[in-house]
Amino acid sequence: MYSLSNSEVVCVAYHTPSQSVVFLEGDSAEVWWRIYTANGDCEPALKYIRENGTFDGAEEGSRAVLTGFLEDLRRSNLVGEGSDRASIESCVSNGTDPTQNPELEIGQFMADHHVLYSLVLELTYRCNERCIHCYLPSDTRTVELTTLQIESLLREFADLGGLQLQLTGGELFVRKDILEILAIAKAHGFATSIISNLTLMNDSILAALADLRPRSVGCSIYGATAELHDSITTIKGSFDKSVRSLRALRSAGIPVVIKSPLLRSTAPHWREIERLAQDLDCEYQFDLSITAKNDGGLAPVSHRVEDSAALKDIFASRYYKLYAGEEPMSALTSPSPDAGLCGAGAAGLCISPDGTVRPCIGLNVPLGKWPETTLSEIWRTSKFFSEFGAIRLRDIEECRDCSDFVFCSRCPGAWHAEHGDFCKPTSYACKLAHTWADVQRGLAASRKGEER
Amino acid sequence: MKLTAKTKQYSLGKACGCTKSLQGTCGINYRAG
Repeated sequence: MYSLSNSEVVCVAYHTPSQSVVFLEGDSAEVWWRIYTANGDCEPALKYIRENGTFDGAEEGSRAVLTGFLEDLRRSNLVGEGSDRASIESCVSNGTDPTQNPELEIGQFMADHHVLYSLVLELTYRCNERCIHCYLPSDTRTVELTTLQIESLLREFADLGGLQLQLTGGELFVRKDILEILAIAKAHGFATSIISNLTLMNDSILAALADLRPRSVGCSIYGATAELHDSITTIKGSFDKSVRSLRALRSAGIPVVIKSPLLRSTAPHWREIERLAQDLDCEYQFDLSITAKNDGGLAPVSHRVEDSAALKDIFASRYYKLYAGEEPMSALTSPSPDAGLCGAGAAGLCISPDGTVRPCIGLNVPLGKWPETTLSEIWRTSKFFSEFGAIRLRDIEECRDCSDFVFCSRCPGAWHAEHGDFCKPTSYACKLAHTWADVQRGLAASRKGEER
Repeated sequence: MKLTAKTKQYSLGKACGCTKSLQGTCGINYRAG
């Protein structure tokens, strides 16, 4: 529950098995919070309704309001025993229009109120795979926060209003204390996302994940065959281990997303990975933005998809049919130069394994070091937030007059990694935007031709 | 007093986007001015 400076009160609640989230405002938030903190006892909620509502018959009227609200909450699985599995599966398999992203709306709300809402915690840079395009520094040896420090860090995050937590690496399951860390996340009730290659998942970790009920588990899969996937991880047998774990997670009812950074050698096979994801009952996400290493190394860049035909095939897929409300992006003719660069630091932070605080996992700009400086102090006093947040597209020479900016999946962090300046786009970012725009304009033109 | 709890499904993928982080995080302050 969030009490904001303008005396506005809001609540965010997740039901992760059904992949649902509810955003409650005003009286709805007040009443939900009273039910939640009273462990389901409705008396405090009824008292609030009686004291703050206007009714002809106070007792009957307030009970009717509460009953209707409880029915809404029951349908949302936020109260009541268990959940309706059939309706959940139907909701999830129908999917969600990615342009109507409720989490993005909530994130934007938190950003507008400068709430530290999400945290990406890199638990280690050690990894048992050796992916050819990895963005982490070549030397992954670094001091890592201890279990006790992580407990303290997450307590501070929770006290500041944190709800969304992403645990990632390196490969986080190499940590000997991973079960304890998962238990800490559970104790705080975070909406936790895990990113792992899953090759080290064992029965104990699976049980801990099932107990945690994470928002999602993400796993990188680079091909639909062991030969192709293992050629990227450079570890023989990694595909079989990851796929085995993916099946186990889905059997346990845990939401899983297969993530595929698309590389020169894997991009032609993206539909096969999509089919594999469907076969495994997982969601699927891919990414063309292969970035330089966090330390500026350019080795990953050579693996980018440069072939125009391959890029056009991907940009013509359903994943790239973007809409702004009801309006196709391709129909938008007046780009707004007032758009911000990105959401780095807007409502969240990233912590490196050694406690270095950064605005985003993709933007390697240190804001301070925890525990020497508290999260609260960094969040309140760092000049980065106002300075970075004030940068507009019109301030970027290459973007100022670009007609394709709505198609730009820009990542200032990637620009910074590649040439040390988060205000200077990479030529690859511009190439992707122009190719996407060309494809969408072509599709729009052929649709108009068909209509005639 | 009217109380409402409208639940929305969240998607894990089904879209292109940064695979390093939470989907949608970088979309804040992003497309519209």
